[in-house]
Amino acid sequence: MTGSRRPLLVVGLVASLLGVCLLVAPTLGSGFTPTGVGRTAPFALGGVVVLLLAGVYFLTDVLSSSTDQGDDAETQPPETPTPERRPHYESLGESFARRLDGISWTDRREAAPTARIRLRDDLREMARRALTDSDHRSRNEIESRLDTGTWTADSDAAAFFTGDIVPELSIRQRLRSLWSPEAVFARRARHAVAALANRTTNTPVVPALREGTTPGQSPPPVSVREYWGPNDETARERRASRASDVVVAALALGGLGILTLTPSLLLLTTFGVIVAGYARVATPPTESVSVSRALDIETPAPGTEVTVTIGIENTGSETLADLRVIDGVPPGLRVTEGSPRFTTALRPGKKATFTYCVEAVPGHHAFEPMLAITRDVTGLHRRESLVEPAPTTLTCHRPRRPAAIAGHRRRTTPLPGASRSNAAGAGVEFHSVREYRRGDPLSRVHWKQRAKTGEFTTIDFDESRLTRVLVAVDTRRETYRTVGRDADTPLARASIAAAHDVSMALLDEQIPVGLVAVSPRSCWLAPQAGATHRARIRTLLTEDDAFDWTPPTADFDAEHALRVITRQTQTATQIVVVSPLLDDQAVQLVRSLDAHGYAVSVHSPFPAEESASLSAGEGYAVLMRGVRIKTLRSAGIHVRTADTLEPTRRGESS
Amino acid sequence: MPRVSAGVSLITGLGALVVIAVSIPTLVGGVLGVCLLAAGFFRQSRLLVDGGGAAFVGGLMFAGLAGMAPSLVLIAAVLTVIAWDVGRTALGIAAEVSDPSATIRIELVHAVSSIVVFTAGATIGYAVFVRTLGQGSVWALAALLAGAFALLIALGS
Repeated sequence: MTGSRRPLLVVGLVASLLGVCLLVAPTLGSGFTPTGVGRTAPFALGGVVVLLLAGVYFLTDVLSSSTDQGDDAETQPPETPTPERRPHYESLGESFARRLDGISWTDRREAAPTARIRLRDDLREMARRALTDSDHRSRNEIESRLDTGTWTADSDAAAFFTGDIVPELSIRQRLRSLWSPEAVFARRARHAVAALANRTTNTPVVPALREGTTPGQSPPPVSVREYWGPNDETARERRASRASDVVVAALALGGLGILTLTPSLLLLTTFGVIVAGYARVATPPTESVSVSRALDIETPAPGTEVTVTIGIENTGSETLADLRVIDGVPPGLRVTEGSPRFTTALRPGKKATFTYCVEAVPGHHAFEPMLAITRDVTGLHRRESLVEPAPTTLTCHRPRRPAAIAGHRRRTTPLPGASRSNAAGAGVEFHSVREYRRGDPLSRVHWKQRAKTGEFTTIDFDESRLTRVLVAVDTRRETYRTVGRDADTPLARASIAAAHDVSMALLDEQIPVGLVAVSPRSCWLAPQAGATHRARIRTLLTEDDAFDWTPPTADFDAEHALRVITRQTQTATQIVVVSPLLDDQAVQLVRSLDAHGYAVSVHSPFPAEESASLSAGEGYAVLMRGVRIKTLRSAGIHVRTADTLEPTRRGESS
Repeated sequence: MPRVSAGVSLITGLGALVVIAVSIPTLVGGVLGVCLLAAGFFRQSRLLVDGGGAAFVGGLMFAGLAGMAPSLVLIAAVLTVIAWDVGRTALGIAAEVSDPSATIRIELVHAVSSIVVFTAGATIGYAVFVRTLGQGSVWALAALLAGAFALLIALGS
């Protein structure tokens, strides 16, 4: 107990004792009958003091609820996790939306609004490329079409390039600025991006922005682990602030009652004191539950509905009046039927069960512990704990897809494992004849030539070499983005699926395949062939941490990744980079590998629902991706795109 | 929104409104309280439910000052506290548990226990009040109240 509370304790004890004495011997009070000021002053003083106390209590209550988020003073518990949903992945269009956010009504007052100038320069460059591709006109024609605004029917889009950086506002626009936070320039930029994107993709792009940018606001926790935080404790308690609210109300009414000498208000204060006293003596619930979890299928095929059955038993000796359980559904799984939340009241020894269904998707899904929240009968004490049943995992392997695709560069012979290399040496197929050099094997000396001319010559054959392919899967944080409204599958999943297809197709041809994750979470498998290796690759792509459903938190170190690849592979190894090409770092990595002498090709999956439309932000990302693909292709690197959003409308690969 | 808790809260709120509806200020406080409670359930806002509780406290204060019988004021206060407490629980359940799961069991347990606790508290309070005032000792009541408050605050967390 702190020192400041000791006097209060003494006052409380003395006052209570006095009250009890007055009750036991009423004659003590009757002897003391003050009159005049002596009679009213104590009441006035007492009333004012109690009212002040109510104010102080109220203020500290409000302050503690707004600043302190500690365990006991906590009033508003954070939102409980929503494990039935997938983690919140960033939408593809969010970076563009953030960029537009940088343009506001206020930066029009700057002398040189840099955000606006840079956006217009970038979009103009993009427009030049996009119009060159789609219209097949000369550069001068395109420039003049952009300057006059005849390139599009959308007046807002045309005005983005023809109008001022800080447009003069009409009266209507001024009125609109009163309630709309979006600047005219930003609106024109959206329209321009949509008009450009519509020229290059078949999926319709609308000028609206779907992405909400809420800077500084982290999304509510999805998984139970995320909600619980990194601490090791398995239980924590909170006390609701309801009791202190009652104390404030009772103090205020009591103060008024003393001031005005109203008996009924004093009665309400008595009631408040008793309620607050009960809240103080009420004990938090002792939690003793044991839980079990069972899946009806543990290794289902993708798309199967798996039923999860949860059993909860009260193993303690007290009744649990209010028990709420939230099961730790793994991040990748989505609940399709029922709910992983359950509430009940349980008497000692009783057991309750509930079920829900999840849809199996490829991956190794380990269930997280359950969150159990118990309250006492009045709901004043809240205790939450992590309850861990026996570890449950759901492993779902990808099926073999019949359409095999090989992403590597086709320069091998169809013979199993053999490639006709440029190197000359031992082999069976004739390559060339050259001068004899000391050390050449006698079997390759051209003896007929020697007999005819007397000179020693050596025959070279095509040397058979095994092609090795390394599949590099891009699963950096930047690839965990979604396309389309309400999409909850990140693009990285498409890359992982494509990597699976590519490596299986190569292994079918007996070509040794290795695997590396382009991610801060490392995963490396040296190129090999064979059934065991096939199983190893499938297991890694399903279960390894690098191909998880939750995005990595660490930053990607491109130099380190490059070092790992160059140290462990020979330059004869071909590298297939599987990446959605969502940022320039991916392009940089491909070009660095190319510069190191590897034969690099890129496989870029980019799935999007065909019927859905894209937002302006997503349209911008698709345009940028088209630019990146073009850059790589012009550098002589094969890029194979497999998607419905084919950015260049050309063949499958160049 | 959990229907049982919200229903119990609104019904007890209406009960409190009926009990204290003796003058214009108390009627305003009560009606405002019920409206804010309903709005709080509709918008799922804790602030609105708390505001409803505060409006009821205002109504109770006017009722007390207007010289209403202490027993009636106490009944209204009990109904108010039940309405507010059960309402807050309804919001807590709505936030922690999504709609489809069955919450009737814990709602009923809480509503019943809340009614029992507050009624018992009010009975004890009324007994103390009658006993002390019956002996004509406002001093004893004041001393006891002051002592209890000081002890509560001193022994609190």
